[in-house]
Amino acid sequence: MYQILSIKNYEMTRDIKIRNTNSGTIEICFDDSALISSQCFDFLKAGNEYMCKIMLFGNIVSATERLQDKVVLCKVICRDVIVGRRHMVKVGVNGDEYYVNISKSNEFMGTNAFYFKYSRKDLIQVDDVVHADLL
Amino acid sequence: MANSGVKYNPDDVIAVTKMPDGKLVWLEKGNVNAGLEHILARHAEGFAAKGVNDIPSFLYDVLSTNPITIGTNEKGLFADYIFNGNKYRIAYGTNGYIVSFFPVK
Repeated sequence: MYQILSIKNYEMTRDIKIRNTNSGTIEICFDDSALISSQCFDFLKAGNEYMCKIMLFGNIVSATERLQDKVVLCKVICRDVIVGRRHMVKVGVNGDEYYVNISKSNEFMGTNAFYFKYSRKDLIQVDDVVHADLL
Repeated sequence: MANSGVKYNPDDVIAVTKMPDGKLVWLEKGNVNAGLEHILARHAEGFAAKGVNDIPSFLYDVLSTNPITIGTNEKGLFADYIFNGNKYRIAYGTNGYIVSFFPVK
């Protein structure tokens, strides 16, 4: 579960600051759901708790880049999990769970872990509401 | 733009172009919430990861192609593009002011 700490609104998108109630990890997640669909995350309220799925937006990188900023070691939890209608990979990073969007043809598919450089963390599902990009 | 009737600050305009459907859109320096300043603050990293460092020029290139999706919602208008194998989203107002531009999943 995640608790909503704060919501920073921009003109058409927003950043949601959330805290994992199990691990205490604080995330800042990008939310553009309201821009593309009325089925969006506009029901979120600061202080409340929700089931959230977070996607790491970025690319797999080689181990030689592991010391760079925002490069994390992703341990594969499930190679093929469906969120909405999108096939994704569920990974663990330092005890927290995330989702990544990787083509099945990618060379990582044979490994149990990979380094991933993310530029953004996207909110892709909150409770039963899935981001329209994944539908 | 001067003949279009839209309100804009000419000193702040970074780029102006027409979308394939003829709609005039423009990018201003903006602020932390919208425009180039917002795009740079919030999405420069995402663009850099795609090999894009000159965002206004890249925006021009993307806008010269046809969007794969155009939509409208309470928040405003958006258009999605596939460019060099990656997907990008432009968010803009009904007047054509480009609010944001970012790579998407």
